[in-house]
Amino acid sequence: MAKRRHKRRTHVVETGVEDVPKSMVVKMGDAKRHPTKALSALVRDFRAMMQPHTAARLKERKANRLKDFLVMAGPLGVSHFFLFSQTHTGNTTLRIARTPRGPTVYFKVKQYSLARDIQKTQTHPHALTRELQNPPVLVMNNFSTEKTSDLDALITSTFQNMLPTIDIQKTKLSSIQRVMLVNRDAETGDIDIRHYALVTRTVGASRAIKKLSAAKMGHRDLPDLSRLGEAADYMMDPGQSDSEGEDEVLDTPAAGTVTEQQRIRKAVKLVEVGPRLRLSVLKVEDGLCQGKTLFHAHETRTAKQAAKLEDKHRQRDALREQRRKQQEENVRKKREAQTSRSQRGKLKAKMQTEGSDSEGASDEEMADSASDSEPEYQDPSEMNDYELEAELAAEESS
Amino acid sequence: MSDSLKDRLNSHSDAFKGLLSLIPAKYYYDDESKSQWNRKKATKSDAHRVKQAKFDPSQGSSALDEVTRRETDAVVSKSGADSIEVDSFEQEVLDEESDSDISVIFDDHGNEIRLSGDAPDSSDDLPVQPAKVQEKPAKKASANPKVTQAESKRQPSSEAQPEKKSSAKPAAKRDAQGIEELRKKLADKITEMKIRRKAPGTNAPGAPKNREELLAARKQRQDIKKRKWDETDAASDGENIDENHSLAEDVDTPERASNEETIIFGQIKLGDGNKLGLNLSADEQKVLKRRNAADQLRVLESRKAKISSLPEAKQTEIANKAQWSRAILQSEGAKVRDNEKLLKKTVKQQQRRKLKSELQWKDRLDTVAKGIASREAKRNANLAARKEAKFSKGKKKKPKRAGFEGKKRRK
Repeated sequence: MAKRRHKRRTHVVETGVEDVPKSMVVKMGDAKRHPTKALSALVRDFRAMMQPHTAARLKERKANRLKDFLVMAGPLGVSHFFLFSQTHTGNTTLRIARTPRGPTVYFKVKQYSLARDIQKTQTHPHALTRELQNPPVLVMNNFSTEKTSDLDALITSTFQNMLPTIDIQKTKLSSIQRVMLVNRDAETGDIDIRHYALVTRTVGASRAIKKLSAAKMGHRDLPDLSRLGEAADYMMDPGQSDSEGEDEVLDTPAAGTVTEQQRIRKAVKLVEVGPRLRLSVLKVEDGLCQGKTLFHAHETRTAKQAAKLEDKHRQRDALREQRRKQQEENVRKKREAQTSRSQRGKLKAKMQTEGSDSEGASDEEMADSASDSEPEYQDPSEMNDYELEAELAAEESS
Repeated sequence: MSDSLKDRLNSHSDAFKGLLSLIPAKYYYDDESKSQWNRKKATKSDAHRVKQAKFDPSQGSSALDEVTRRETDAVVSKSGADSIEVDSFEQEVLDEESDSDISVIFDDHGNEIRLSGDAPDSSDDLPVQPAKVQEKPAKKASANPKVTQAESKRQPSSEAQPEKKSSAKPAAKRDAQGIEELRKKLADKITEMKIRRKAPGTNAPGAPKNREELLAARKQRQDIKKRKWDETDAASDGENIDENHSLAEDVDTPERASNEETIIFGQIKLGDGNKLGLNLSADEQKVLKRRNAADQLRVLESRKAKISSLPEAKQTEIANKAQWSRAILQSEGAKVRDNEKLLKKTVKQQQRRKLKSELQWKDRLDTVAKGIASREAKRNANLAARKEAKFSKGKKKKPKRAGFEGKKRRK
């Protein structure tokens, strides 16, 4: 047999795409039904932070449950859920869950600030535009590199794996434009999340030159030079003196020792864009928002209690399974009844037509028989349960 | 042409004999292929000599010669009272040896027998046919030392040898004797070891006698080896349980080097696809071993068995650790396959799939064969019809030419 042709040049299957963690940031619980504006904004900001591998414009409906999102997670390759929920008293929680089988880490959101609020506090806020095309770089501070406890290891691993892996040889430096900082408070154990934009600024040039170069780069308009007689007037203008001292991160080398090109250097600066979150670990669960509780910040269980709970869960699962089976069986019976009835009806109709042909029965009789057979048949799907049960009982007895 | 029955039979017999004489003996009896599995690789010079001998017309015996020789042998061996039947193949080999320029062979006890009067010093061509020479003592050691008359006829008498030897120089003779002794010792030792390990070709009880037995023995050995390997593998898996990562597909985690650095970055990958560890050290990378479902199930079961043998407290501890390691691995995106039920299901599914494809393949083969047969039958039928039409009398109507007289349109 001839080998089937495969297009290899134009239909390249991208490998390693599955490695990229993708996420959905979703409001759940009460927050979904009656979301406060602040929480909606927080979710929006969080999505911006997780871009580009997240559902940035996801629209949750009130009727949507976690199950619905989970169903779509498989085909879309979504590996992480960030589930925000809020109680009516205002307690906010964040669940970070790995699909499809967990684990889930529950955080209590102790405090949060929206991107909007952070920008209001800044004299020169930074608006994210192109930066959102690349994922942020994760920097975790105060997390132990050694395996001190299982919980620590799990949380480290959770944060590390929710963003794409950086390939040292392939990643372009220009693609690194944002930083997600996760800081752990050594005393309280709380986790702070911050989101920054990476900005580079020219250092070592006078303010006048910087303005001109910015204009050349298209970042801002050219300064008004119409009133000036010559270039020296612009350069020597005392109004252009360098006031942004804090920008100069790097030391400028003494003039004359280096060339002009070397003298103009770039400083890397972090501008916070938000949101800010302060989290504390509440609970860790085995599965996706279900399963065994591996850790709880407030509750403890003795071995006996745990065993008792496990037993209870086992019983519940067994009951659930039994009910499911019964339901399946019922459906099967129903279907059977449906087919047998319809077949019986057909058979009857056929026999009648045959009989009428042979005996030459009158039209009246045929009409009669048709009207007789009509009310007998009823689609079981249209019946209510009570009727169906009565039918089944009648059938069994006969 | 004579009419007597005997004459006629004789003439037929002559005809057969004539045909028989044209067949080389080795193709007629095909003794070589019977012992092929047991044959050693010939040296280059040996192979060359055999090749040359093949083209020597005086060397090759025809099937007819061989038949007559075997008949006479049979008669002789029957006449000999308690002599065992000598392997005709061995005789043939001996014949060849005596004809060629072999200067030394070993007798039944591994002693050297010199055939030609060459001085032992010219030892360049001493081990002329090492493979055959080595084989001799092994074969004959257990055989009856009594030599049949037929053999003794062909073989130069062993009494004649010492006389020829004694004519050589005494010093050389001493050396030769020393060498002989050593050789004898070596040969003895080799045979002894061969018998002990029941090597093919020895007459030790349990040694493979033919190719099938040899293959069976080899397979058995391989099976034992494989089982042993599996056991050690499972045992080592079981030992890992006490350590941190257990119930997932095995992960090799070398010891983490202590480091005070508390800044951790996101996952960093090297060009070869390996991820760096928390310390950004390449040696810390984790390698996921993926097993197939059946293997994974087996490992899981052996682990379970091992855990169940431990004390209660240890068991709960292991279970607790396993939970966490499972969670950590899952958070890393690893697929943890520790559900026995699911694994069993998978194994079954795979088996079913395999069986199905096997059946489908058989069906395919059948249909292909059927297709070929039907096409052949059709062709034959067509040919027959054509032949019949050609030879049958009476003119047939000329078929209508397509496009001229008109062709029926298909509906």
